[in-house]
Amino acid sequence: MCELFDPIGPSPLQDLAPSSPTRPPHTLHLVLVVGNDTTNYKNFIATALPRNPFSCMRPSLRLKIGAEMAKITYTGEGCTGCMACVAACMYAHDKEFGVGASRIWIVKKEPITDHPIVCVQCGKPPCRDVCPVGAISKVDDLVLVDEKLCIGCGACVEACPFGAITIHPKKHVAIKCDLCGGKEPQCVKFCPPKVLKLQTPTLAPKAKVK
Amino acid sequence: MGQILRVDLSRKKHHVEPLPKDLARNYLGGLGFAARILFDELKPKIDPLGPENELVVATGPITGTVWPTSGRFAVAAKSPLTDVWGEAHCGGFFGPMLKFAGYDALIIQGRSENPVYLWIDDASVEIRRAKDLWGRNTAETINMIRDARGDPQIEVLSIGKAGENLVRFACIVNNYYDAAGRAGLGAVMGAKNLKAIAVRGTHGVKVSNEEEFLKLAAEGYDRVFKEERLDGLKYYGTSPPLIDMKRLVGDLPTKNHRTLTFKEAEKFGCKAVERYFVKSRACFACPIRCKKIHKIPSGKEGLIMKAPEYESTCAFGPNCGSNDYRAILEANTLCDLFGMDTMSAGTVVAWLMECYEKGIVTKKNCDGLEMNWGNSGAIVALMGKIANREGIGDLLAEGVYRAAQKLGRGSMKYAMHVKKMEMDLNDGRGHRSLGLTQATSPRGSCHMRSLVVVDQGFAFQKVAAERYGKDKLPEICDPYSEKHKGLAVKDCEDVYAIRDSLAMCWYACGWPPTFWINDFAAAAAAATGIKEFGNVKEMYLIAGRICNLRRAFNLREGVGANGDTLPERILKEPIPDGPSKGQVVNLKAMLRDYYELRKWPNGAPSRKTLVDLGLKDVAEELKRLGRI
Repeated sequence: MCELFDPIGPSPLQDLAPSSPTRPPHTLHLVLVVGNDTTNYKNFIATALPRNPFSCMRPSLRLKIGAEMAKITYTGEGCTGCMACVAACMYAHDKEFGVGASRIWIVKKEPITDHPIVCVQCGKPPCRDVCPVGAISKVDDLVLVDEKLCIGCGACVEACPFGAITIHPKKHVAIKCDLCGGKEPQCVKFCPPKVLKLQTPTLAPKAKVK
Repeated sequence: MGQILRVDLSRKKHHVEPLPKDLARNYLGGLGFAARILFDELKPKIDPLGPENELVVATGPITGTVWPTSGRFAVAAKSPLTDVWGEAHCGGFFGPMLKFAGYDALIIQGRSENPVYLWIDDASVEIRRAKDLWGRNTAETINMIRDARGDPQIEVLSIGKAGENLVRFACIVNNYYDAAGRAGLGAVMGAKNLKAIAVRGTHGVKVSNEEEFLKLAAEGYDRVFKEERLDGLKYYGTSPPLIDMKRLVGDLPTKNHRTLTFKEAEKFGCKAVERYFVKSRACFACPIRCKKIHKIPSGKEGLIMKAPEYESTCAFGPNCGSNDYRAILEANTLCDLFGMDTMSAGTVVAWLMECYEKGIVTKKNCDGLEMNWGNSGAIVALMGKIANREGIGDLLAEGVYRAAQKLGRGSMKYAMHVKKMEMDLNDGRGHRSLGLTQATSPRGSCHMRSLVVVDQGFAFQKVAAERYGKDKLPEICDPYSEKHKGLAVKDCEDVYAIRDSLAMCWYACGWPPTFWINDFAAAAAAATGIKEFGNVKEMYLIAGRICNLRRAFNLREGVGANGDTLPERILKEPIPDGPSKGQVVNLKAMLRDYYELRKWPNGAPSRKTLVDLGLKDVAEELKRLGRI
């Protein structure tokens, strides 16, 4: 049974994210194989896929401030464009320091613009809506990509209004900020001027008031 | 394991070599690689502007990681300005990007017939025509390459007009205003008809001992944040705090090093300049952010320019007798765009001004420019003339030594140079160990290779006692004493050789003394996994190899103890006024100490010195040439 499922790799998130607006086509396949009994499916997930990529990635309560899920915010000024966050981000995910496969990027324009770009974890993420294989979903206010499902088509890259989602140059799957899986986000940790913050959308603007 | 990319412009070919293990083990990286490669591959007495010269761009073992201030790289070649060893170090983003493309070092050989640029996209390397780029300034070159490739991530190392016209102090510019400035390496690129090197890297840099390295890096950041003495740099950049400090201690070269006090220096100090600041920028992974952007009120919008570093401010300001900050900014920006070294440019202009004052040149010689002290309009006008080699600029573009030789009429007396390189804006009379630093620096007058910080005022007594022992106090901290300065300079030269090989920045390593050799050792060991690097003694051995190799390179060119000298003005003319009144440099006493500690009898390493460092082949080559 395991072999049957692995290559198709139905996203466990489909089940976890009931608000998904479009049912991707392969859920039909899932229904055919497993039947309509979702408890059966849940059990299957629990047993057959112990290395479920999201089991460790589901943001824990530590990332919550009040009732809201925190995300990475920029205070609006003070970025020096040093790219320490970029290298730290790639290291956190690929164990290599670099800029090619980073989930955060800095837009630089002469003479004075340095602005970090990172996923804002949209309320209605367009990347999820356009994903043809349903690899992107929202879990606990966090937009996540299932690398197993992703086909690397780049539809999400086109849809993202920020340019915060990119394609990994080697793995050829979409990559975006996952808040370092509930641990301390490394970009925030290594930001030298301390302008990247882990903050909720309602608190972020208040931090700007001096 | 690392890789070296070798590009032959004559044959339009390139190939990738694995990084030799013994090179990495014995020379660490960056500067060390460059020293060994150039000593092995360059023949003595070649023409620096000919096809035989090689340009080496090398990164260190921690380049590209998040280690604080690690985003630097070394560029080296035989210098067209000094005809000896030429090296320059540069921050910005090119070094890390080269490393991300998978190369530890880049060697450029030969000479292209037509203007070309090198395009490195990970494994794919192309030599492409640069017909449209030729003649453009450095900023346009970066923008055009980025636009053509459609990728703003591309890092570009390019030369401007000055490099194309073989101005002997042309520099190589990266990221609009980060320059590998000194020693005229831009002219080497220009002579090779290589307009730019563009690189995009998508790979990553792995470190060996991840846990240890990240722990050390995080600690390093903490130390930089907590270092109060860095606050000046963080808020004001390098220029205003240094001007303020040097103004007070009387160490601000003024009017071609005639004196060390400038009355109007306050105009460049923190208080006066603060109002122009709009933004701080940083090099790769740097918490210090000393690059400041200025906005000068002008017209409707105002001009936005990068603030000059201390050396540039002093070169175009006090050293030319100018109090016009706006003109300094303009001259500095022009130098960035044309790709010229600001220190050398400022010193040549100061030389011309002194010649004008003494009547050696007249208004007619100077294309109608009145070269009075402080004529800021003329300073700015000369920048374009030098870069384009027009009129008097053609003479100045040769560097101050060659210009004085050409002009004659006693102008050599006012040419401030060491080993033909224009003096940097520091003076041994106000800061004694600096005299020795400038005299012994392998690339000519330079303060970066062994600047002793502990004797700049008495604030660093504790650090000095830790490093050199309590018995050396208080003389070692006295800026006007020659005692123990040989020791301090030798030690700093060793430590800074390691710093440049790891490719870290001078700030936080030299000034203020935050990181020192034990930190470099720990970082190198954690990054490479070579345990021996963790031993400080091993680090000193590597540093000794690098320093001796550079010396051997110069000896091969015929420059040894005869080059270790200072301009007559520094040695004989006492300072007329200010806090350091009456001081001159007694270089001989310091040189004796220095040679003794280096084990260089008569200024050349003995065979035993070289063999002890594992440089037997170098000893044999020098013996064959009759240099030792």
